[in-house]
Amino acid sequence: MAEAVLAPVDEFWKVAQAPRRLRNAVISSVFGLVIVLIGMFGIRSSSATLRSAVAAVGVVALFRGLQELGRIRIGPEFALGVWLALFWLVVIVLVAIFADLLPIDSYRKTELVSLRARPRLSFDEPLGRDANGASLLSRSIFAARVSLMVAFLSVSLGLTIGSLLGLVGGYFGKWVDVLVNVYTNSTLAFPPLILLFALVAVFSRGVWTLSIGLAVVSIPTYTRVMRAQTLAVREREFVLAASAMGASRWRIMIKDILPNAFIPVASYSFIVAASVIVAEGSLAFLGLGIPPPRPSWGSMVADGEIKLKTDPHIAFVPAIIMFLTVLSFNRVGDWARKRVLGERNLMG
Amino acid sequence: MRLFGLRLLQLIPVLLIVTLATFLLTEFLPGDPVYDILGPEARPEQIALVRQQLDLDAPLPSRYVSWVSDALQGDLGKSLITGRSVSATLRQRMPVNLEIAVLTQLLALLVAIPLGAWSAYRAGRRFDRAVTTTSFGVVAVPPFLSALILVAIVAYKLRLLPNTGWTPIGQGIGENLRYIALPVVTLALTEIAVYSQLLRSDMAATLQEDYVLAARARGLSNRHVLMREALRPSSFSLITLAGVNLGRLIGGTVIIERIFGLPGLGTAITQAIPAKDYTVLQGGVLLLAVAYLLINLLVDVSYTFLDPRIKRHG
Repeated sequence: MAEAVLAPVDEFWKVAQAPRRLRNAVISSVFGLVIVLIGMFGIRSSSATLRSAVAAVGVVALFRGLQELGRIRIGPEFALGVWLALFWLVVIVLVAIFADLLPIDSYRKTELVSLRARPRLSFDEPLGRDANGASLLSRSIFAARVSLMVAFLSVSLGLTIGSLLGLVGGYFGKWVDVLVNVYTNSTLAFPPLILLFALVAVFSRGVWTLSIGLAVVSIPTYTRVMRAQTLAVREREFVLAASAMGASRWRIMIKDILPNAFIPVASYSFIVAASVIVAEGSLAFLGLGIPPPRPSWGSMVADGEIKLKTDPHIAFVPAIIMFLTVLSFNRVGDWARKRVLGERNLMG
Repeated sequence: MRLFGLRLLQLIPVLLIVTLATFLLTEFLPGDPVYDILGPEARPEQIALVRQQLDLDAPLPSRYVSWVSDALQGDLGKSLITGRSVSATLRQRMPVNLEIAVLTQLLALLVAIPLGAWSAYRAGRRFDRAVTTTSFGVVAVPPFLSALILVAIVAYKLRLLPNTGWTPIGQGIGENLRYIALPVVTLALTEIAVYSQLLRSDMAATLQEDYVLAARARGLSNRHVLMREALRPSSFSLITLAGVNLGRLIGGTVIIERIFGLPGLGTAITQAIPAKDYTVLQGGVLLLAVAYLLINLLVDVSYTFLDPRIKRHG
């Protein structure tokens, strides 16, 4: 109520402050960029911790300046974080697909010289080398291939099967719904990691085994969301109209309900992809992922764990790349879900 | 109570499916427990004898039925490899997981409730934005990474806590807490981030209600309004998720157990997989499934007590 009264006052201040906002935004961006450059190249002699702290301050200032600039130029709903996340995802997907064409070393090629070289921008290996002297850049890129492939396959499988189950259960109700529910509850009750461990032990440790296992684990999420969507769409007028016109139940389900319920369900895929990447990384970290010599982020971190005291970059380079990827999937997923669903929460 | 009974009935098929799936899965596991028991130089007649004793030659359905009927009488059998009673092993391991799961949830809620409530109160301001951004970052760190970072800082650099090992709670609470601190913090980090965001969005909606305005108008303190007036109606999603996570944590700590060398259920079960020790595998999965399902059931039933408006549909 207070907000309603104060709205004109707020509006006045916004207009009055507009030139100052633009100026502040530009100052913040430029200042941030300068600080980042100082942190990266300026202070030569000081410790790595200090340099990264300075660079981090610069990144925050730069981010906030650009965010403000975007809000002024493009609109108040502009979110720089989402754009950066999308950019990162596009880059990592393209790099993973075209890894063979890139001018990088093979992930198997090891060097005796410059063993365990640290990351350095001016150096021919910008991300450094691991304990065997293999390029961390190349290994990270080929590892991205595995993670993204598993994420893509398991999300596609989970989305297809999960939403079909939810659709059928939600639309037909009664015993079909009970059956679907029993299936969902059984999958949820089965400890997911133990299921994955067993699957990996029974079948070979390949991309398909991991994808199918992770799809099985993610099916219940899709089923629940789809069921809730179906129940909501089923009550809408156009469904009533279709059934009054004599459309069959299958036709209504496929032609009317599915298209309207699918987009909200699919908007969960980015978040599921993030959790799939985490799960795949965890398995690989425990030595149960894709077998060597193919690299995976999780197994790279495990390799680096032994050298954590002397060469922390071996573990942290793949860790940071994995973190950025998971963060981007979450950020884009959150944005997609909010765009499609508003603030509503559909789990349950 | 009728709802409770119905839901309890629905658990039976779920448990049957879960145990049957475990049975089938173990059937396909490579290897043979008999070789592990007798060693590589066993003679064929010895192998046949042991197989017969362990009832391994009977067809799968009959073995499943006899396992279920034993389990119903509380007998989960003996480990094929060590010969120890499965229920004794589970009883010994369970406290580790229960303690971790309960402490993690307590720590997470203790930190997340004030964080979430205060960010809801200051929605859109600096504090709220900082918490939201940090949460996004924290959620994106897989537990095995946060464990690694915590070990690197707390155990290696500061030398405050041991990085692996375990002391049961019976042998001194202080020692026990020293070993459990890092695993609990690792697991709680993600939960804090998720819970505070969940509570924030629910509470931001509650704070728009007229009765909150009325409470503020009466001059009640922020703390009273947030914790006494607004918390309970905003905590439904939080309770659901905390319950689901409690159930999941009991079985889902395999990675943390391995990293910190904890003698938990997850380790026991996963060690049984390559050994094809199916009695341990079966018993462990059954226990975890029952725990998960019962906690979920309790959460669902608790709604009706928290909010009498919720109708009880079957």
